[in-house]
Amino acid sequence: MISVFKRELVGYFKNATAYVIFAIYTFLSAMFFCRFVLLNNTSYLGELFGYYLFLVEIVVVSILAMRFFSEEKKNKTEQLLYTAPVRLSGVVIGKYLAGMVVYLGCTLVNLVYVLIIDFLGDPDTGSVFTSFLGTVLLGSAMVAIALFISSLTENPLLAAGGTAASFVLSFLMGTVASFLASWLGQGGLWFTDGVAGLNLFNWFNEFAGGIVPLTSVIFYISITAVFLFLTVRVLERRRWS
Amino acid sequence: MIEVTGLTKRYGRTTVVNNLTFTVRRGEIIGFLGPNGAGKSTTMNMLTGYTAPTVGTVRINGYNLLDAPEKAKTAIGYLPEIPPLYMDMTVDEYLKFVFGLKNCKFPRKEHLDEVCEVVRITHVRHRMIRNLSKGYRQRVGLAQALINDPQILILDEPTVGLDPKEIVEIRNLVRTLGQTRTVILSSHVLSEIQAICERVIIINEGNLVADALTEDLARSAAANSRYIVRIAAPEDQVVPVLSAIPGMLKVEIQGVMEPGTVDVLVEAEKDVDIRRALFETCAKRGWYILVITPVGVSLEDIFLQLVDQTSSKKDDSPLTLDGASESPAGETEKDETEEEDEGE
Repeated sequence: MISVFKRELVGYFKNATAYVIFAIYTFLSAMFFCRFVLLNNTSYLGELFGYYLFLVEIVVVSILAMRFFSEEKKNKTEQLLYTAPVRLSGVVIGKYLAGMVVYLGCTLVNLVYVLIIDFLGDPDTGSVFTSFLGTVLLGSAMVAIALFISSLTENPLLAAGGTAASFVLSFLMGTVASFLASWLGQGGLWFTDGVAGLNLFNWFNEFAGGIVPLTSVIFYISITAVFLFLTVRVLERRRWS
Repeated sequence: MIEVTGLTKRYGRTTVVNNLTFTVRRGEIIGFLGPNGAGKSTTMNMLTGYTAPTVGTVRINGYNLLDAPEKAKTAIGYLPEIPPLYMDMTVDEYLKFVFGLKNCKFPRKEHLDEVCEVVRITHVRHRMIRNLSKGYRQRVGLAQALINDPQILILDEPTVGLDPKEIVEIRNLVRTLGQTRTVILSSHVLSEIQAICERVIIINEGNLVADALTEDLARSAAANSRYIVRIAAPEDQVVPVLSAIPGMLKVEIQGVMEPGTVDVLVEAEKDVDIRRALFETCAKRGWYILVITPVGVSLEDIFLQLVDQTSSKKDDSPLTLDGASESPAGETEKDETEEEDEGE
Protein backbone atom coordinates (compact mmCIF):
# COMPACT_ATOMS: atom_id res chain seq x y z
CA MET A 1 0.00 0.00 0.00
CA ILE A 2 2.72 2.43 1.00
CA SER A 3 4.72 1.79 -2.15
CA VAL A 4 1.64 2.30 -4.32
CA PHE A 5 0.91 5.52 -2.45
CA LYS A 6 4.44 6.80 -2.91
CA ARG A 7 4.56 5.89 -6.57
CA GLU A 8 1.23 7.56 -7.27
CA LEU A 9 2.16 10.71 -5.44
CA VAL A 10 5.54 11.00 -7.13
CA GLY A 11 3.78 10.25 -10.42
CA TYR A 12 1.44 13.22 -9.98
CA PHE A 13 4.40 15.54 -9.68
CA LYS A 14 6.51 13.88 -12.35
CA ASN A 15 4.07 14.22 -15.17
CA ALA A 16 2.91 17.63 -14.03
CA THR A 17 -0.66 16.59 -13.22
CA ALA A 18 -0.24 17.94 -9.71
CA TYR A 19 1.00 21.30 -10.98
CA VAL A 20 -1.82 21.61 -13.46
CA ILE A 21 -4.30 20.82 -10.72
CA PHE A 22 -2.74 23.32 -8.33
CA ALA A 23 -2.73 25.96 -11.02
CA ILE A 24 -6.36 25.41 -11.93
CA TYR A 25 -7.41 25.35 -8.31
CA THR A 26 -5.53 28.51 -7.47
CA PHE A 27 -6.77 30.37 -10.52
CA LEU A 28 -10.43 29.51 -10.10
CA SER A 29 -10.57 29.83 -6.33
CA ALA A 30 -8.73 33.17 -6.44
CA MET A 31 -11.19 34.41 -9.02
CA PHE A 32 -14.14 33.44 -6.86
CA PHE A 33 -12.45 34.87 -3.80
CA CYS A 34 -11.91 38.25 -5.46
CA ARG A 35 -15.37 38.40 -6.96
CA PHE A 36 -17.52 37.09 -4.13
CA VAL A 37 -15.52 37.99 -1.04
CA LEU A 38 -13.29 40.96 -1.71
CA LEU A 39 -15.57 42.81 -4.11
CA ASN A 40 -18.60 42.04 -1.95
CA ASN A 41 -16.77 43.70 0.88
CA THR A 42 -17.45 40.85 3.28
CA SER A 43 -15.31 38.84 5.65
CA TYR A 44 -17.68 35.88 5.48
CA LEU A 45 -15.94 32.93 3.84
CA GLY A 46 -18.78 30.48 4.30
CA GLU A 47 -20.27 31.20 0.92
CA LEU A 48 -16.95 30.73 -0.81
CA PHE A 49 -16.36 27.37 0.82
CA GLY A 50 -19.96 26.28 0.82
CA TYR A 51 -20.85 27.12 -2.77
CA TYR A 52 -18.31 28.53 -5.19
CA LEU A 53 -15.44 26.24 -4.32
CA PHE A 54 -17.61 23.24 -5.17
CA LEU A 55 -17.10 24.00 -8.82
CA VAL A 56 -13.34 24.11 -8.38
CA GLU A 57 -13.39 20.87 -6.45
CA ILE A 58 -15.41 19.16 -9.17
CA VAL A 59 -12.88 20.23 -11.79
CA VAL A 60 -9.90 19.17 -9.71
CA VAL A 61 -11.23 15.77 -8.71
CA SER A 62 -12.31 15.05 -12.28
CA ILE A 63 -8.75 15.65 -13.43
CA LEU A 64 -7.54 13.32 -10.72
CA ALA A 65 -9.93 10.67 -12.03
CA MET A 66 -8.08 10.69 -15.36
CA ARG A 67 -5.03 9.19 -13.82
CA PHE A 68 -6.19 6.71 -11.23
CA PHE A 69 -6.57 3.55 -13.26
CA SER A 70 -6.65 4.38 -16.94
CA GLU A 71 -2.92 5.06 -17.04
CA GLU A 72 -2.23 1.67 -15.50
CA LYS A 73 -4.43 -0.03 -18.03
CA LYS A 74 -2.88 1.79 -20.93
CA ASN A 75 0.67 0.90 -19.92
CA LYS A 76 -0.30 -2.59 -18.81
CA THR A 77 1.27 -1.88 -15.45
CA GLU A 78 -1.85 -3.14 -13.74
CA GLN A 79 -0.52 -6.61 -14.41
CA LEU A 80 2.33 -5.84 -12.07
CA LEU A 81 0.03 -4.56 -9.36
CA TYR A 82 -2.39 -7.45 -9.51
CA THR A 83 0.19 -10.20 -9.69
CA ALA A 84 2.25 -8.82 -6.83
CA PRO A 85 1.63 -10.38 -3.45
CA VAL A 86 -0.49 -7.46 -2.24
CA ARG A 87 -4.18 -7.12 -1.64
CA LEU A 88 -6.28 -5.19 -4.11
CA SER A 89 -7.56 -3.08 -1.24
CA GLY A 90 -3.98 -2.00 -0.57
CA VAL A 91 -3.64 -0.82 -4.16
CA VAL A 92 -6.95 1.06 -4.02
CA ILE A 93 -6.23 2.71 -0.70
CA GLY A 94 -2.75 3.68 -1.84
CA LYS A 95 -4.21 5.42 -4.86
CA TYR A 96 -6.94 7.03 -2.79
CA LEU A 97 -4.44 8.43 -0.29
CA ALA A 98 -2.23 9.83 -3.03
CA GLY A 99 -5.25 11.52 -4.59
CA MET A 100 -6.21 12.90 -1.20
CA VAL A 101 -2.76 14.39 -0.66
CA VAL A 102 -3.00 16.29 -3.95
CA TYR A 103 -6.50 17.43 -3.04
CA LEU A 104 -5.37 18.56 0.41
CA GLY A 105 -2.49 20.42 -1.20
CA CYS A 106 -5.07 22.31 -3.22
CA THR A 107 -7.21 23.24 -0.25
CA LEU A 108 -4.17 24.71 1.46
CA VAL A 109 -4.37 27.50 -1.11
CA ASN A 110 -7.45 28.66 0.77
CA LEU A 111 -5.27 29.51 3.75
CA VAL A 112 -4.00 32.45 1.76
CA TYR A 113 -7.54 33.83 1.52
CA VAL A 114 -8.02 33.37 5.24
CA LEU A 115 -4.82 35.31 5.88
CA ILE A 116 -5.91 38.09 3.54
CA ILE A 117 -9.25 38.39 5.28
CA ASP A 118 -7.52 38.23 8.63
CA PHE A 119 -5.38 41.15 7.53
CA LEU A 120 -8.26 43.21 6.15
CA GLY A 121 -11.00 42.35 8.56
CA ASP A 122 -12.13 39.89 11.13
CA PRO A 123 -13.08 36.41 9.86
CA ASP A 124 -15.00 33.96 11.98
CA THR A 125 -12.15 31.59 12.88
CA GLY A 126 -14.52 28.88 14.04
CA SER A 127 -16.41 28.66 10.79
CA VAL A 128 -13.20 28.86 8.80
CA PHE A 129 -11.93 25.85 10.72
CA THR A 130 -15.12 23.83 10.25
CA SER A 131 -15.20 24.79 6.58
CA PHE A 132 -11.71 23.36 6.16
CA LEU A 133 -12.75 20.19 7.90
CA GLY A 134 -15.84 19.96 5.72
CA THR A 135 -13.81 20.53 2.57
CA VAL A 136 -11.51 17.68 3.51
CA LEU A 137 -14.38 15.31 4.22
CA LEU A 138 -16.26 16.30 1.08
CA GLY A 139 -13.03 15.85 -0.88
CA SER A 140 -12.55 12.41 0.59
CA ALA A 141 -15.98 11.32 -0.64
CA MET A 142 -15.38 12.92 -4.04
CA VAL A 143 -11.99 11.27 -4.50
CA ALA A 144 -13.46 7.89 -3.59
CA ILE A 145 -16.24 8.35 -6.13
CA ALA A 146 -13.74 9.45 -8.77
CA LEU A 147 -11.63 6.39 -8.04
CA PHE A 148 -14.65 4.19 -8.50
CA ILE A 149 -15.67 5.77 -11.80
CA SER A 150 -12.14 5.60 -13.12
CA SER A 151 -11.98 1.90 -12.30
CA LEU A 152 -14.92 1.38 -14.65
CA THR A 153 -13.29 2.69 -17.78
CA GLU A 154 -9.97 2.59 -19.58
CA ASN A 155 -10.49 5.92 -21.23
CA PRO A 156 -9.13 8.81 -19.17
CA LEU A 157 -11.46 11.33 -20.78
CA LEU A 158 -14.45 9.18 -20.06
CA ALA A 159 -13.29 8.82 -16.47
CA ALA A 160 -12.97 12.57 -16.07
CA GLY A 161 -16.22 13.30 -17.90
CA GLY A 162 -18.11 10.65 -15.98
CA THR A 163 -16.82 11.94 -12.69
CA ALA A 164 -17.68 15.52 -13.47
CA ALA A 165 -21.10 14.54 -14.78
CA SER A 166 -21.95 12.53 -11.71
CA PHE A 167 -20.95 15.39 -9.43
CA VAL A 168 -22.99 17.87 -11.42
CA LEU A 169 -25.91 15.46 -11.38
CA SER A 170 -25.54 15.08 -7.65
CA PHE A 171 -25.44 18.84 -7.28
CA LEU A 172 -28.64 19.22 -9.30
CA MET A 173 -30.44 16.84 -6.96
CA GLY A 174 -31.11 19.82 -4.68
CA THR A 175 -33.05 21.55 -7.47
CA VAL A 176 -34.83 18.35 -8.38
CA ALA A 177 -35.81 17.91 -4.75
CA SER A 178 -37.29 21.38 -4.43
CA PHE A 179 -39.17 20.87 -7.67
CA LEU A 180 -40.53 17.58 -6.39
CA ALA A 181 -41.43 19.19 -3.08
CA SER A 182 -43.69 21.72 -4.75
CA TRP A 183 -45.27 18.93 -6.70
CA LEU A 184 -45.67 16.24 -4.08
CA GLY A 185 -46.40 18.55 -1.18
CA GLN A 186 -46.02 17.66 2.46
CA GLY A 187 -46.87 14.00 1.99
CA GLY A 188 -43.83 13.30 -0.15
CA LEU A 189 -41.39 14.81 2.26
CA TRP A 190 -39.58 11.55 2.94
CA PHE A 191 -39.02 11.17 -0.78
CA THR A 192 -37.88 14.70 -1.48
CA ASP A 193 -35.58 14.57 1.52
CA GLY A 194 -34.11 11.39 0.14
CA VAL A 195 -33.53 13.01 -3.25
CA ALA A 196 -31.99 16.06 -1.62
CA GLY A 197 -29.72 13.73 0.35
CA LEU A 198 -28.23 12.55 -2.94
CA ASN A 199 -26.72 15.99 -3.26
CA LEU A 200 -23.25 15.38 -1.97
CA PHE A 201 -22.70 19.09 -1.47
CA ASN A 202 -25.86 19.63 0.52
CA TRP A 203 -24.26 17.90 3.47
CA PHE A 204 -21.64 20.62 3.58
CA ASN A 205 -23.94 23.52 4.51
CA GLU A 206 -23.59 23.31 8.23
CA PHE A 207 -19.81 23.15 8.09
CA ALA A 208 -19.87 26.56 6.43
CA GLY A 209 -21.98 27.85 9.28
CA GLY A 210 -19.38 26.90 11.88
CA ILE A 211 -20.87 23.61 13.01
CA VAL A 212 -19.45 20.10 12.79
CA PRO A 213 -22.60 18.08 12.11
CA LEU A 214 -22.07 14.48 13.11
CA THR A 215 -24.48 13.17 10.46
CA SER A 216 -22.51 14.85 7.68
CA VAL A 217 -19.21 13.57 9.03
CA ILE A 218 -20.60 10.06 9.11
CA PHE A 219 -22.18 10.52 5.69
CA TYR A 220 -18.93 11.57 4.02
CA ILE A 221 -16.92 8.87 5.72
CA SER A 222 -19.48 6.23 4.75
CA ILE A 223 -19.52 7.41 1.14
CA THR A 224 -15.74 7.17 1.07
CA ALA A 225 -15.76 3.67 2.53
CA VAL A 226 -18.55 2.45 0.27
CA PHE A 227 -16.92 3.68 -2.92
CA LEU A 228 -13.49 2.40 -1.98
CA PHE A 229 -15.09 -0.95 -1.34
CA LEU A 230 -16.96 -0.83 -4.64
CA THR A 231 -13.73 0.00 -6.45
CA VAL A 232 -12.08 -3.08 -4.99
CA ARG A 233 -15.08 -5.13 -6.07
CA VAL A 234 -14.96 -3.77 -9.62
CA LEU A 235 -11.29 -4.67 -9.93
CA GLU A 236 -11.91 -8.04 -8.36
CA ARG A 237 -14.77 -8.72 -10.72
CA ARG A 238 -12.73 -7.82 -13.74
CA ARG A 239 -10.42 -10.73 -12.97
CA TRP A 240 -13.36 -13.08 -13.22
CA SER A 241 -15.07 -11.78 -16.30
CA MET B 1 5.68 -26.82 -7.57
CA ILE B 2 2.93 -25.76 -9.97
CA GLU B 3 -0.13 -27.93 -10.28
CA VAL B 4 -2.77 -26.95 -12.79
CA THR B 5 -6.01 -28.89 -12.84
CA GLY B 6 -8.86 -28.49 -15.26
CA LEU B 7 -7.97 -24.88 -16.01
CA THR B 8 -10.65 -23.30 -18.17
CA LYS B 9 -11.31 -19.73 -19.15
CA ARG B 10 -14.39 -18.57 -20.97
CA TYR B 11 -15.18 -15.07 -22.10
CA GLY B 12 -18.88 -15.17 -22.68
CA ARG B 13 -19.38 -18.06 -25.07
CA THR B 14 -15.83 -18.23 -26.33
CA THR B 15 -13.64 -20.72 -24.58
CA VAL B 16 -10.11 -19.39 -24.62
CA VAL B 17 -8.49 -22.05 -22.50
CA ASN B 18 -10.08 -25.44 -22.22
CA ASN B 19 -9.45 -27.90 -19.42
CA LEU B 20 -5.68 -27.67 -19.13
CA THR B 21 -4.04 -30.01 -16.67
CA PHE B 22 -0.32 -30.23 -16.12
CA THR B 23 2.29 -30.21 -13.41
CA VAL B 24 5.58 -28.41 -13.37
CA ARG B 25 8.26 -29.74 -11.07
CA ARG B 26 10.97 -27.81 -9.33
CA GLY B 27 13.85 -26.78 -11.55
CA GLU B 28 12.21 -27.50 -14.87
CA ILE B 29 12.36 -25.18 -17.84
CA ILE B 30 9.13 -25.52 -19.69
CA GLY B 31 8.29 -24.16 -23.06
CA PHE B 32 4.75 -23.12 -23.54
CA LEU B 33 4.07 -23.26 -27.20
CA GLY B 34 1.20 -22.40 -29.44
CA PRO B 35 0.24 -20.28 -32.40
CA ASN B 36 -0.86 -16.73 -31.74
CA GLY B 37 -4.22 -16.67 -30.05
CA ALA B 38 -3.91 -20.21 -28.73
CA GLY B 39 -4.46 -19.07 -25.16
CA LYS B 40 -0.85 -18.87 -24.00
CA SER B 41 -1.08 -15.44 -22.45
CA THR B 42 -4.44 -16.17 -20.88
CA THR B 43 -3.03 -19.29 -19.28
CA MET B 44 -0.06 -17.37 -17.99
CA ASN B 45 -2.31 -14.68 -16.62
CA MET B 46 -4.21 -17.34 -14.76
CA LEU B 47 -1.04 -18.94 -13.44
CA THR B 48 0.04 -15.63 -11.99
CA GLY B 49 -3.31 -14.66 -10.56
CA TYR B 50 -3.94 -11.74 -12.89
CA THR B 51 -7.13 -13.27 -14.21
CA ALA B 52 -9.18 -15.85 -12.42
CA PRO B 53 -10.05 -19.10 -14.16
CA THR B 54 -13.68 -19.85 -14.96
CA VAL B 55 -13.13 -23.42 -13.79
CA GLY B 56 -10.12 -25.17 -12.40
CA THR B 57 -7.40 -24.57 -9.88
CA VAL B 58 -3.82 -23.45 -9.83
CA ARG B 59 -1.68 -24.48 -6.91
CA ILE B 60 1.71 -22.93 -6.39
CA ASN B 61 3.88 -24.72 -3.86
CA GLY B 62 0.72 -26.27 -2.52
CA TYR B 63 -1.07 -22.95 -2.05
CA ASN B 64 -4.23 -22.45 -4.02
CA LEU B 65 -3.93 -19.23 -5.96
CA LEU B 66 -7.48 -18.22 -5.08
CA ASP B 67 -7.50 -19.15 -1.42
CA ALA B 68 -4.04 -17.94 -0.45
CA PRO B 69 -3.13 -15.52 -3.23
CA GLU B 70 -0.43 -13.67 -1.34
CA LYS B 71 1.47 -16.78 -0.35
CA ALA B 72 1.18 -18.24 -3.83
CA LYS B 73 2.14 -15.02 -5.62
CA THR B 74 5.24 -14.51 -3.50
CA ALA B 75 6.80 -17.51 -5.21
CA ILE B 76 6.23 -16.14 -8.71
CA GLY B 77 8.07 -13.63 -10.81
CA TYR B 78 6.06 -12.67 -13.87
CA LEU B 79 7.11 -10.91 -17.02
CA PRO B 80 3.96 -10.29 -19.07
CA GLU B 81 4.04 -9.96 -22.83
CA ILE B 82 4.26 -6.18 -22.54
CA PRO B 83 6.61 -5.44 -19.65
CA PRO B 84 4.65 -3.54 -16.98
CA LEU B 85 6.85 -0.46 -16.81
CA TYR B 86 6.10 3.03 -15.62
CA MET B 87 7.54 5.20 -18.33
CA ASP B 88 7.85 8.24 -16.06
CA MET B 89 10.24 6.56 -13.66
CA THR B 90 13.93 5.85 -13.81
CA VAL B 91 15.00 2.22 -13.74
CA ASP B 92 16.20 2.61 -10.19
CA GLU B 93 13.00 4.22 -8.95
CA TYR B 94 10.97 1.56 -10.67
CA LEU B 95 12.90 -1.30 -9.15
CA LYS B 96 12.66 0.28 -5.72
CA PHE B 97 8.92 0.58 -6.20
CA VAL B 98 8.62 -3.09 -7.15
CA PHE B 99 10.83 -3.99 -4.22
CA GLY B 100 8.40 -2.25 -1.87
CA LEU B 101 5.35 -3.59 -3.69
CA LYS B 102 6.52 -7.17 -3.32
CA ASN B 103 7.23 -6.49 0.33
CA CYS B 104 10.69 -7.85 -0.14
CA LYS B 105 12.66 -8.77 2.96
CA PHE B 106 16.19 -8.76 1.53
CA PRO B 107 18.52 -5.83 2.19
CA ARG B 108 17.39 -3.45 -0.53
CA LYS B 109 20.60 -2.07 -1.96
CA GLU B 110 22.39 -5.41 -2.21
CA HIS B 111 19.38 -7.17 -3.67
CA LEU B 112 18.74 -4.57 -6.35
CA ASP B 113 22.44 -4.39 -7.20
CA GLU B 114 22.47 -8.11 -7.64
CA VAL B 115 19.35 -8.20 -9.80
CA CYS B 116 20.67 -5.41 -12.03
CA GLU B 117 23.96 -7.24 -12.35
CA VAL B 118 22.23 -10.44 -13.43
CA VAL B 119 20.22 -8.82 -16.20
CA ARG B 120 23.02 -6.36 -16.96
CA ILE B 121 21.23 -3.07 -16.58
CA THR B 122 23.50 -1.54 -13.97
CA HIS B 123 24.71 1.13 -16.39
CA VAL B 124 21.20 2.34 -17.24
CA ARG B 125 19.82 2.45 -13.72
CA HIS B 126 19.63 6.22 -13.60
CA ARG B 127 17.89 6.54 -16.96
CA MET B 128 14.21 7.10 -17.57
CA ILE B 129 12.48 3.94 -18.70
CA ARG B 130 10.75 5.82 -21.49
CA ASN B 131 14.13 6.51 -23.08
CA LEU B 132 15.31 2.91 -23.06
CA SER B 133 15.37 0.66 -26.10
CA LYS B 134 13.02 -2.25 -26.37
CA GLY B 135 15.70 -4.72 -25.39
CA TYR B 136 16.56 -2.81 -22.26
CA ARG B 137 12.92 -2.41 -21.34
CA GLN B 138 12.60 -6.16 -21.61
CA ARG B 139 15.55 -6.55 -19.28
CA VAL B 140 14.09 -4.13 -16.79
CA GLY B 141 10.90 -6.17 -16.97
CA LEU B 142 12.92 -9.27 -16.28
CA ALA B 143 14.67 -7.53 -13.40
CA GLN B 144 11.26 -6.70 -11.98
CA ALA B 145 10.28 -10.36 -12.15
CA LEU B 146 13.49 -11.37 -10.40
CA ILE B 147 13.01 -9.09 -7.43
CA ASN B 148 12.31 -11.02 -4.24
CA ASP B 149 14.15 -13.98 -5.73
CA PRO B 150 11.09 -16.02 -6.79
CA GLN B 151 11.46 -19.76 -7.27
CA ILE B 152 9.20 -19.66 -10.29
CA LEU B 153 9.67 -17.41 -13.30
CA ILE B 154 6.86 -17.02 -15.77
CA LEU B 155 7.92 -15.27 -18.94
CA ASP B 156 5.44 -14.45 -21.66
CA GLU B 157 7.17 -14.24 -25.02
CA PRO B 158 10.29 -12.62 -23.61
CA THR B 159 12.05 -12.24 -26.95
CA VAL B 160 9.29 -10.81 -29.11
CA GLY B 161 10.32 -7.72 -31.00
CA LEU B 162 13.97 -7.83 -30.05
CA ASP B 163 16.85 -7.78 -32.48
CA PRO B 164 18.79 -11.03 -33.03
CA LYS B 165 21.61 -10.05 -30.71
CA GLU B 166 19.23 -9.19 -27.91
CA ILE B 167 17.33 -12.41 -28.48
CA VAL B 168 20.48 -14.44 -27.99
CA GLU B 169 21.32 -12.50 -24.85
CA ILE B 170 17.89 -12.87 -23.32
CA ARG B 171 17.91 -16.57 -24.15
CA ASN B 172 21.23 -17.09 -22.48
CA LEU B 173 19.97 -15.17 -19.52
CA VAL B 174 16.89 -17.34 -19.26
CA ARG B 175 19.03 -20.43 -19.49
CA THR B 176 21.23 -19.19 -16.66
CA LEU B 177 18.24 -18.27 -14.55
CA GLY B 178 16.74 -21.67 -15.20
CA GLN B 179 19.64 -23.40 -13.49
CA THR B 180 18.29 -22.47 -10.09
CA ARG B 181 14.65 -21.79 -10.80
CA THR B 182 11.57 -23.20 -12.37
CA VAL B 183 10.89 -21.36 -15.60
CA ILE B 184 7.82 -21.33 -17.77
CA LEU B 185 8.44 -19.62 -21.04
CA SER B 186 5.88 -19.02 -23.70
CA SER B 187 6.68 -18.53 -27.31
CA HIS B 188 5.47 -19.15 -30.78
CA VAL B 189 9.05 -19.45 -31.94
CA LEU B 190 9.98 -23.09 -32.07
CA SER B 191 13.72 -22.85 -32.33
CA GLU B 192 13.69 -20.82 -29.17
CA ILE B 193 11.86 -23.47 -27.20
CA GLN B 194 14.07 -26.13 -28.70
CA ALA B 195 17.15 -24.22 -27.63
CA ILE B 196 16.14 -23.51 -24.05
CA CYS B 197 13.50 -25.84 -22.77
CA GLU B 198 13.64 -29.41 -21.57
CA ARG B 199 9.94 -29.92 -21.80
CA VAL B 200 7.30 -28.54 -24.12
CA ILE B 201 3.64 -28.01 -23.57
CA ILE B 202 1.86 -27.30 -26.81
CA ILE B 203 -1.57 -25.78 -26.82
CA ASN B 204 -3.82 -24.95 -29.70
CA GLU B 205 -7.18 -23.25 -29.58
CA GLY B 206 -7.07 -23.52 -25.83
CA ASN B 207 -6.53 -27.26 -25.73
CA LEU B 208 -3.50 -29.19 -24.58
CA VAL B 209 -2.03 -30.83 -27.66
CA ALA B 210 1.20 -32.25 -26.35
CA ASP B 211 3.16 -32.36 -23.14
CA ALA B 212 6.49 -34.09 -23.58
CA LEU B 213 10.23 -33.73 -23.29
CA THR B 214 11.66 -31.73 -26.15
CA GLU B 215 14.01 -34.55 -27.12
CA ASP B 216 11.30 -37.17 -27.15
CA LEU B 217 9.12 -35.05 -29.32
CA ALA B 218 11.88 -34.48 -31.81
CA ARG B 219 12.88 -38.14 -31.81
CA SER B 220 9.39 -39.45 -32.28
CA ALA B 221 8.95 -37.37 -35.35
CA ALA B 222 12.34 -38.10 -36.87
CA ALA B 223 11.02 -41.16 -38.63
CA ASN B 224 12.51 -41.03 -42.09
CA SER B 225 15.45 -39.24 -43.55
CA ARG B 226 14.57 -36.61 -46.07
CA TYR B 227 16.65 -34.53 -48.43
CA ILE B 228 16.10 -31.97 -51.05
CA VAL B 229 18.36 -32.71 -53.99
CA ARG B 230 19.12 -30.50 -56.95
CA ILE B 231 20.07 -32.61 -59.94
CA ALA B 232 21.03 -31.60 -63.46
CA ALA B 233 18.78 -34.11 -65.15
CA PRO B 234 15.78 -34.24 -67.47
CA GLU B 235 12.73 -33.63 -65.36
CA ASP B 236 10.62 -36.45 -66.74
CA GLN B 237 13.17 -39.18 -66.01
CA VAL B 238 14.06 -38.22 -62.48
CA VAL B 239 11.11 -39.71 -60.64
CA PRO B 240 11.11 -43.20 -62.13
CA VAL B 241 14.86 -43.56 -61.89
CA LEU B 242 15.21 -42.39 -58.31
CA SER B 243 12.18 -44.30 -57.14
CA ALA B 244 13.90 -47.50 -58.21
CA ILE B 245 16.66 -47.06 -55.64
CA PRO B 246 16.25 -49.62 -52.87
CA GLY B 247 15.02 -48.07 -49.62
CA MET B 248 13.51 -45.05 -51.32
CA LEU B 249 10.02 -44.26 -50.12
CA LYS B 250 9.04 -41.15 -51.93
CA VAL B 251 10.33 -38.95 -54.71
CA GLU B 252 8.62 -35.69 -55.30
CA ILE B 253 9.49 -32.95 -57.76
CA GLN B 254 9.72 -29.58 -56.08
CA GLY B 255 10.21 -27.47 -59.17
CA VAL B 256 12.96 -25.87 -61.17
CA MET B 257 15.07 -23.36 -59.27
CA GLU B 258 17.99 -23.25 -61.65
CA PRO B 259 17.68 -23.69 -65.42
CA GLY B 260 18.59 -27.16 -66.55
CA THR B 261 18.17 -28.69 -63.13
CA VAL B 262 15.35 -30.02 -61.06
CA ASP B 263 14.77 -29.97 -57.31
CA VAL B 264 13.53 -33.21 -55.86
CA LEU B 265 12.43 -34.13 -52.39
CA VAL B 266 13.48 -37.67 -51.55
CA GLU B 267 12.41 -39.58 -48.52
CA ALA B 268 14.09 -42.81 -47.53
CA GLU B 269 13.59 -45.44 -44.89
CA LYS B 270 14.84 -44.67 -41.44
CA ASP B 271 18.09 -46.64 -41.38
CA VAL B 272 19.13 -46.30 -45.00
CA ASP B 273 21.70 -43.74 -45.98
CA ILE B 274 20.21 -42.93 -49.30
CA ARG B 275 22.86 -40.41 -50.28
CA ARG B 276 25.42 -42.92 -51.51
CA ALA B 277 22.95 -44.86 -53.61
CA LEU B 278 21.62 -41.59 -54.91
CA PHE B 279 25.07 -40.48 -55.94
CA GLU B 280 25.84 -43.75 -57.70
CA THR B 281 22.58 -43.81 -59.58
CA CYS B 282 23.00 -40.28 -60.79
CA ALA B 283 26.66 -40.79 -61.66
CA LYS B 284 25.80 -43.77 -63.82
CA ARG B 285 23.43 -41.68 -65.83
CA GLY B 286 25.77 -38.73 -65.98
CA TRP B 287 23.54 -36.48 -63.89
CA TYR B 288 25.26 -33.98 -61.67
CA ILE B 289 24.12 -33.61 -58.12
CA LEU B 290 24.52 -29.95 -57.34
CA VAL B 291 23.01 -29.66 -53.90
CA ILE B 292 21.88 -32.03 -51.20
CA THR B 293 20.08 -30.40 -48.31
CA PRO B 294 18.93 -32.48 -45.40
CA VAL B 295 15.40 -31.61 -44.34
CA GLY B 296 15.74 -31.92 -40.61
CA VAL B 297 12.69 -32.76 -38.64
CA SER B 298 12.41 -29.93 -36.22
CA LEU B 299 9.87 -29.02 -33.65
CA GLU B 300 8.45 -26.94 -36.42
CA ASP B 301 7.19 -30.02 -38.22
CA ILE B 302 5.86 -31.67 -35.12
CA PHE B 303 4.20 -28.50 -34.12
CA LEU B 304 2.54 -28.00 -37.46
CA GLN B 305 1.46 -31.63 -37.51
CA LEU B 306 -0.05 -31.42 -34.07
CA VAL B 307 -1.69 -28.12 -34.68
CA ASP B 308 -3.05 -29.27 -38.02
CA GLN B 309 -4.47 -32.39 -36.46
CA THR B 310 -6.29 -30.46 -33.79
CA SER B 311 -7.34 -27.44 -35.78
CA SER B 312 -10.98 -27.33 -36.51
CA LYS B 313 -10.22 -26.00 -39.94
CA LYS B 314 -7.64 -28.09 -41.68
CA ASP B 315 -5.27 -26.37 -43.94
CA ASP B 316 -3.57 -28.69 -46.35
CA SER B 317 -0.38 -26.93 -47.25
CA PRO B 318 2.22 -29.67 -47.48
CA LEU B 319 4.44 -30.02 -44.48
CA THR B 320 7.57 -30.50 -46.48
CA LEU B 321 7.45 -27.11 -48.09
CA ASP B 322 7.49 -25.36 -44.73
CA GLY B 323 10.40 -27.44 -43.56
CA ALA B 324 12.33 -26.72 -46.70
CA SER B 325 11.81 -23.01 -46.73
CA GLU B 326 12.96 -22.79 -43.13
CA SER B 327 16.34 -24.35 -43.73
CA PRO B 328 18.98 -21.80 -44.69
CA ALA B 329 19.02 -21.69 -48.49
CA GLY B 330 20.02 -24.99 -49.99
CA GLU B 331 23.73 -24.46 -50.41
CA THR B 332 25.03 -27.00 -47.91
CA GLU B 333 26.51 -30.07 -49.35
CA LYS B 334 27.54 -31.51 -46.05
CA ASP B 335 25.19 -33.48 -43.92
CA GLU B 336 24.85 -31.37 -40.85
CA THR B 337 21.78 -30.84 -38.85
CA GLU B 338 21.09 -27.20 -39.27
CA GLU B 339 19.77 -25.35 -36.29
CA GLU B 340 21.24 -21.97 -36.94
CA ASP B 341 18.14 -19.94 -37.44
CA GLU B 342 18.39 -17.61 -34.48
CA GLY B 343 16.02 -15.17 -36.17
CA GLU B 344 12.39 -14.71 -35.34
